[in-house]
Amino acid sequence: MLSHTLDENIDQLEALFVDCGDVVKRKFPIGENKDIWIYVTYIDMLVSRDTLENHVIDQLMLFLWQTPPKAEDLRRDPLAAIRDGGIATADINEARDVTGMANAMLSGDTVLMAQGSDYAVTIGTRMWPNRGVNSTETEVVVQGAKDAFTETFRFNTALIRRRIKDTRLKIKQMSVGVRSQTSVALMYISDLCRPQVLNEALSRIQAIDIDAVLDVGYLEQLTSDDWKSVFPLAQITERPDRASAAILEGRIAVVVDTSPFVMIIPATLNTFFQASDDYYQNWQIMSFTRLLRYIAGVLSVILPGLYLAIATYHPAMIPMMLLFKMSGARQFVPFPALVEILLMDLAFELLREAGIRLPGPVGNAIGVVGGLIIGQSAVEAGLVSPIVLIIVALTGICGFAVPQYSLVSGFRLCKYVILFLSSILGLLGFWIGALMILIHLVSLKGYGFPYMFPFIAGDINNYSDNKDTLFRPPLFTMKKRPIFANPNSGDRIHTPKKQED
Amino acid sequence: MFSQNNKISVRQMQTLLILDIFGAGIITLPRKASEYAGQDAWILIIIITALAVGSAFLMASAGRILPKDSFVALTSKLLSKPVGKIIGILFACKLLFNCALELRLFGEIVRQKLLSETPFFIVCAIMLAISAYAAAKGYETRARLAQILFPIIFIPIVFIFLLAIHDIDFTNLLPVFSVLQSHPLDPVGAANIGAAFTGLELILLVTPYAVRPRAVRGGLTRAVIFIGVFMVFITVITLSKFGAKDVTRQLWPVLEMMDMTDLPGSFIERQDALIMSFWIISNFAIVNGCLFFSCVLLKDTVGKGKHSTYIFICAAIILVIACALMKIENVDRIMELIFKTLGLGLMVALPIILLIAARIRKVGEK
Repeated sequence: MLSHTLDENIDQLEALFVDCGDVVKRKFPIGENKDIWIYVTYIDMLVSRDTLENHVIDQLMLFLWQTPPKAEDLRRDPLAAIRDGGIATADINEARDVTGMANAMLSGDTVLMAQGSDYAVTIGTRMWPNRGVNSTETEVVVQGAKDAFTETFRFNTALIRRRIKDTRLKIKQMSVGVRSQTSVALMYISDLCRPQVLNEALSRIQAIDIDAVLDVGYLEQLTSDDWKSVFPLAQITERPDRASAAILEGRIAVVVDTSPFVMIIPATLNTFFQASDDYYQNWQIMSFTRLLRYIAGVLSVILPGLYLAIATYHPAMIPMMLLFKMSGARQFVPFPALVEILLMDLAFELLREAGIRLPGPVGNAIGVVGGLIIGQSAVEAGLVSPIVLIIVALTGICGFAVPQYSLVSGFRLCKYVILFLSSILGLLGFWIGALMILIHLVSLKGYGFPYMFPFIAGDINNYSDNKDTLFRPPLFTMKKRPIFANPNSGDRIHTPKKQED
Repeated sequence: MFSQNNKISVRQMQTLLILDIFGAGIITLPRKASEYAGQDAWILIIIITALAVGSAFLMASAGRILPKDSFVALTSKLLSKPVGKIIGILFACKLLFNCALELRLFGEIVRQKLLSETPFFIVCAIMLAISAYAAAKGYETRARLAQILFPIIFIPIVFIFLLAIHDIDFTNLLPVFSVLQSHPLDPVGAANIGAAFTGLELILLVTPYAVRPRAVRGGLTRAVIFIGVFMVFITVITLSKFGAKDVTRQLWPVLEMMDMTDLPGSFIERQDALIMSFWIISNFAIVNGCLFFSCVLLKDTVGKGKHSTYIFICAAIILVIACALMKIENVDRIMELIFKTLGLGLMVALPIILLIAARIRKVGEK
């Protein structure tokens, strides 16, 4: 608790910030007779100098001198008198203890104390270092908005607010992380979001007791329904339009300060195959693209295993001419097919990893040059056969065709399960692996929603969600809201009543 | 939010039942039916289907007496606790035997068609392991899985059979009714054909898992009709392709039939491995179904633990029976024996007894 003596309060606060070189503090007298002592403190570079100097310091020094508050007001509550007459900003709060003051300062607010007041005023002067709003890097679309989320919390909420100009868009804000005190916001539309999902999300986030939350990925892992699963149970996006679309479906966007990604909950497998521009272009071509993505997703998991099972255990299935060619190509390869595939896959994974870590242009060059040279050299050296090269490359390309990276990561690991089982038991192993993955997928749930919905349990929403799965239907047919929305929220397309002639 | 602790919709229940019945029985069905009724085999199957529909109706009606109670609880309330427990154990034993027999047959077919050098034990153990994983996840997961597997199994099979139509001779089915008219049907033999509907008795167990128990009877009766129609379809095509005499000489005529069908513009040289793929999935559905329900029955009979507690012991019993106790030549015979004793008892006699007991004790709905 704070006392009425300014020096005592200053001592309490400064004790928390010992050896903090970035804390700026100043105690100075104001008023006509220079007899009102106040104390201003903030953390350098977390505040807007412009706001601070023009709307706070300037006001305190000049305005209070020119039109001093009444002596009676100053006696009763000096800080209130100063606040009402000397601070030209609306974003003002009170702090009644040192922790409150410290937290406000750490968030970029300026703290103002005065002799005779047992509380402090926190002035909203936040201006965190930021890189502005840049274009998307990981979720590029052909047609659609190019802006991406950034590390600045308020920018991100504003990017969504800008797209949904509805007072029912709510931002439930809290701090997570004992030491980081990271600002986290749950953005949702009050009449579209299911209250059970909102309450569950709130309780999961509030239950987090961790030193620091440095990225939205922390929340994704700490609030997941199944930590053992390799499949993501929440969507991560850097696209404000995608987050806005999800909110309009009744889902919740979780914005985390310092993270340029936003988490969308709940999520189903189907939502990971949907891209923003699916809905911006013609439905026919986007249906084709959607189907292609699904095929690519499945191939990225099964292709190496299927090839291995057939080529090793059931070559009789392969047409004779192709079999001769494959056998000829493999004639001088010294490794079994499994080792061949693993070698090439390892090379591919290394190239991918190197391509991500290296700076942009160099990374691209590594990807192309490395792929071409290593592939060709491996075939010429007789280490792998051309067909394996094609299989591994095709698997990799299929992985890139899935719009969400986190899902592809899960697929990459599943691929090995099928590959190893196929290498031991042929087609039986292939199906055992596929069944294992399917059993896991159908048993997954995120916030109570079946992960494989609407491919399973589609009847819980009268099969209306099945329309937007393998194909993207025409927009005017997507009348019903998806399963995520509150069932009482009505339709999303309001068909006008036909006027009588 | 949509998880209702192992409660599933009637649609999911229908899918599960179809997959649970659609097992090894169907690959031998045209042969067995032809042995008894020659080219009239398909008519025999229609008759058997009608009987199966009646049995399904009876079993579902019995399940409606106390729809929230498990099978063991229901029989205990209506026929006394010891009788209920004995029936529960017998039912579990029947399922374990069925499961072992299916596994035995599966292992044999896999060894013949896919993995000739892999030990039988390994093939069975692996299938059992994946089935146990599914069974341990519970009924809801099984139902959801069935919705995914259903099209994977049925679409290719129907596709292959439809392709076979252009190359078949329907005159092989003529003259109609000649065999059934000239030789009085052996009722024991006809009952053996009913073994193709093994798995039907699971209807006795499923009502407590339904979100809407009152819809179970109609829904499952329709599912049995679907299976019957499918069996008739397969038998008609197979008989038309080979003729009744050839069909009786083949061990697995349905597999032969599928293997002989040419896929137009096909990239695949031989289809047997592909067909086996569908068979693997269908067998998995049956094995995990029997395993799941035998565990549930044991749990309800013992009255302790979860169903998953009993999975290991049940799986071990199944594996031992499948690997050690039987020769493949005996599988059909044992299947028919179990069907004619325990099977018919559970499918026909027990539901009638339960319905009468409920009427006498004035329990449940009228």
